[in-house]
Order: sequence, then structure tokens, then C-alpha cells
Amino acid sequence: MIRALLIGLALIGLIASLLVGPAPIDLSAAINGLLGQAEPATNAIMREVRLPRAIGALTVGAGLGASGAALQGFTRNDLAAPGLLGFSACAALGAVAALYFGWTYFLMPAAIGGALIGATIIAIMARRHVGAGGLILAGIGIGALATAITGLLMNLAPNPWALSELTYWLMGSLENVDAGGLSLAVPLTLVGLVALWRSGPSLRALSLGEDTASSLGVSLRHVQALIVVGTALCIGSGVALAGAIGFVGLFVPHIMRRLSGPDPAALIGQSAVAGGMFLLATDTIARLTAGPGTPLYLGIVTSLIGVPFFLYLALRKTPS
Amino acid sequence: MSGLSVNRVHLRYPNGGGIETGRLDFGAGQIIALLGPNGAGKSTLIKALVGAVRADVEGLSVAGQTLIDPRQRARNLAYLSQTRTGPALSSVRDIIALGRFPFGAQDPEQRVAAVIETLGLGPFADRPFGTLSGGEQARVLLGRALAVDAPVLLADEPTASLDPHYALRIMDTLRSEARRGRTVIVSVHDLSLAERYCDQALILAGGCIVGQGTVRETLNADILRDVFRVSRSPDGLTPLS
Repeated sequence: MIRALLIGLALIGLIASLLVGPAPIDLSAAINGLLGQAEPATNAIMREVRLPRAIGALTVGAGLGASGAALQGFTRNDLAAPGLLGFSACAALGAVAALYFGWTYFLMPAAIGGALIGATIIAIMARRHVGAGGLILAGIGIGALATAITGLLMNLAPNPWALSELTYWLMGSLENVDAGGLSLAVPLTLVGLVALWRSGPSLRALSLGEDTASSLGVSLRHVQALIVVGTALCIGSGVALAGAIGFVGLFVPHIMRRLSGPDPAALIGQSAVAGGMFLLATDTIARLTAGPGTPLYLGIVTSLIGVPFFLYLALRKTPS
Repeated sequence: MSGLSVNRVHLRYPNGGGIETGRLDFGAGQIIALLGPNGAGKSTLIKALVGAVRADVEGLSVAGQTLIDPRQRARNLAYLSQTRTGPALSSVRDIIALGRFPFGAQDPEQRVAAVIETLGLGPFADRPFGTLSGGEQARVLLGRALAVDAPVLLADEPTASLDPHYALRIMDTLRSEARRGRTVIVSVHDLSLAERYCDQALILAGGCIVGQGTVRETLNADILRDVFRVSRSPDGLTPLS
């Protein structure tokens, strides 16, 4: 029921986002443009700008939402999310390092590798029972370190990047999404989503604590591997596509938990759809309000929405 | 009647300490008290048996059948953890249903309903776990362990920090489960609870078995003095200085 509603809303969002932009294109022209049967300019806008951007939003948002849901289930920590735990910053570092060394073709694998390193460190710490606060602190530390090294690489580059490049990687934007990036990011994100989805039943058992889950036959190593690989694929490919977009992975699972209940397995799929929809809507609104010539970083919008939510969660008295 | 048997449990921590036992046999239909002072290794032994800590557990068998793969172990050994962790927002019914996890998609409804009935949890069945009192939560988690319907139940200090009402109700349930033919192994600190409810006792000290037999004969003056550092007096137990 909730799933059908979400998918319906995502489709409406997709159509709306395809119709919105600096160039006024009406519905019939948009459809003809997508089919390649409108004027060349309309064809190009629809097929090379708007459609890739919309698919990019859905892909990145789905990866963020599902990763957040899986991480919150795995760590049993309300504040766990790919951004706060430093995965996104590690992925951005991977991407920037690839650019720094001139391995442009390896941008996405490098971003995934960065996310994999961040995720592995956090997973090991989570298993050592550093506590809810300790884990978030470690994530913030890892993220800050990755961001500092990212900035350092940009400073040291023989041909210094503009500051906006740094902002792009750290704040995120769907401005530069193209078919080439999508052809890699979409399948990699899908593989990541399947890995996260498969961890779902074990996350249910893990809600009773690690010892009880083990006694029920859950292999903690197996779940950990699924979560680490799944989040690294989703976050790495998402960051390579659009930079580090913050807070979506934090609040989307929370909202879905309120709407449809606490089952950590169901939350993964629902947060994927809701995350995609949310990013699509946010990007569409950002494009509407920014107007032509002044691109608004998507990550700024998601942070403006997400930070108050984060503070609310952090200051709330009763942790679950 | 053979319940749970194991040839040897061995586990060594990097910083010293651990568990070292010889052969252990626990009969079906019996409730066995696992006794020992703090740090004796009671929890660790239970966790080693159910596979929650990595240990060499040799020749583990239930009702004469050797348990090899984790799923088989999970279906035959139910575990009640000392830490009462549960998802605050999940309903009592959903939490109890998690006991059916080792059986995959096989119809859990009947067993879950039976457990709710047995423990009298009907009035709470649809309430979120987080809204229950500590005593009620303890009973729900016991229900989760009973939902596995395993021939062996290992309960790690199920009465810790419970008021007498809930502590006695938990022990009553454990004893009635034993009378139905299960092997129930329960670690407790309260020696009077062990004397009142348990058929057998296994005494651990420093990770080794130092006493085994009926509760009365095992808790003799020597064990009380050497292991628990108490003595019997007309007023009950008295600590030794």
C-alpha cells in the first residue's frame, strides 16, 4: 500500500521534474523531445539534460535512503547515516584523488573504494561496541579527515581547481549528470540496493541485540559484508555522479519509520523509493527557485532541511 | 533421557581468562542452575554454546543428534540474553515472532499465538515493546525465546533486576517448560531461587566446572566457602570476610 503510493508519487515527481526548467517546454513537446521527434533543441534538452538529471536524482536518492535505513538498522543507532558516518566524504575524497592523479576513467571505482574504506572502518568500530555516540563521533572524525585531505589535494594540484569544484564535491549537485555517468551509476547502485535489501531479514533479528541474533543463526560477518558493500556501492556511485549530498540518508528512513512502522527490512525498500522521490522533488524545486544562471547546490537545500531534523534527533531525550 | 551434550567447550581471551570444560550432559525435562560468582564465566559458557561468541565447542548434540550447521544449532538451542534489548517501536507480537527466524518463512503464527497465550501476554500483544515495564519486557523476551520451540533453552540471568513477582513468574515458566520435556539451563545469582526451582546445578569458577550434581548436595559448605565466599547461618547466607 505504502509502496504503491510511494511509487505513484515518484512517477508524478518524475513527470513534474521533466516539465520544469529554464526553457519552457509543454507536455506534448516534452514527450516528443524524449522520443527524439521534436525540434533539435528540445530533443537535446529533454534527452541530454532533463531525463539524465531526473534519473540521477532517483538513483542518488534511492542509494542514500536505502543506505541510511540499513545503517540505522545495523548499528541500531538513530543517527547513523552515510553522511554523518563519513562515507560520503570518503567517497568524495576517492573521486577527487582519481581526478588529482589523472585517472578520470576510474572516478567512480575510486569513489566506491573511498566509501568502502570509510564503511569498513565504521563497521569494525560498530562491532567493537564503541557505543552510539562513539560511532557518530568516529564518523564525524573520519568525514572531517577525508574532507581535509580532499581540500589538500585541490590545493596541491598543479592546475588548481576553482573553489567551486570543492563546493561541488562537498555539497553535491545534479548539474553535471550525463548518460555516461548514469550508465555506470545506475547498475552499480542497483547491485548495492540488492545487497542492502538482502540484509533486511537479518536486521530484524539484530534488533534484539547481536548475541540473540547470533543465537538465531544470523551470521554477523555476512550481514556486515552486505551492508558495507551495499552502502559503498550506493554512496560511491552516487557521490561520483553528484557529489556528497547530505542528510537525505538520515531523515528519509525516519520519516518512513513514522509512516509505515519500525520493521528494518521493509524500511530499506521504502526508504530507497522515498529517497529517490525526495531528491527528485528537492532538485525540481531548487531548479524552479534558483532560476537560470545561478545554480543552487542540491546539497545546500537538503542540508537546510536536514540539519534542523538532525538537531531534533540529537537533542531528543529518549533514544530508541 | 539425553537433552544437551557437549564433549568440550574451550575459549581463551587474549588478555587471559576463558572457559575450559570437559564433557557436559544435561538431561531432557530438567532445569539446571548455572551458578558461580561474578566473572566465573556463566554468560560466556552460555554464549559459547549458542554460538554468540567464537569458541571451540566439540561434539555439541541435542537429543543424540550432533549439531553442525548454524541453522541446526539455532533451531535446537533457544537463548535468552541477559541484556534486555528490543526494538522500542515494534509490537510484542512482532518481537515474539522473531523467535521463528531460524525456520525462515515457515508459518510462525501458530507458535507465536501459543506463546502469547501461555505467558498471558494477550493484553499487550499489539503494544510497542518500549511502552512496557521492565518486568513485562523480560516476559516478552522470554516469549521470544520460547517461540523458537527448541528442545533446549539457555537463559542468562533471566531474573536479574526484576522484582520478586516477575522473577518468580519467570522461574515458574522455566520450570513448567522443563516439565514439558525441554532442557532448561538457567544462570542465576540468587542461590535460594536455584534451590527452590532447579533439579541440578553446575558450578563455575574461573571458567572451570568445580561442582556438578543436585542443587542441595552441590551447594555444600565447602563450595559456599571457596567459590561464593559465604557461609550458611540460621539467618541465611552470611558473607565471609
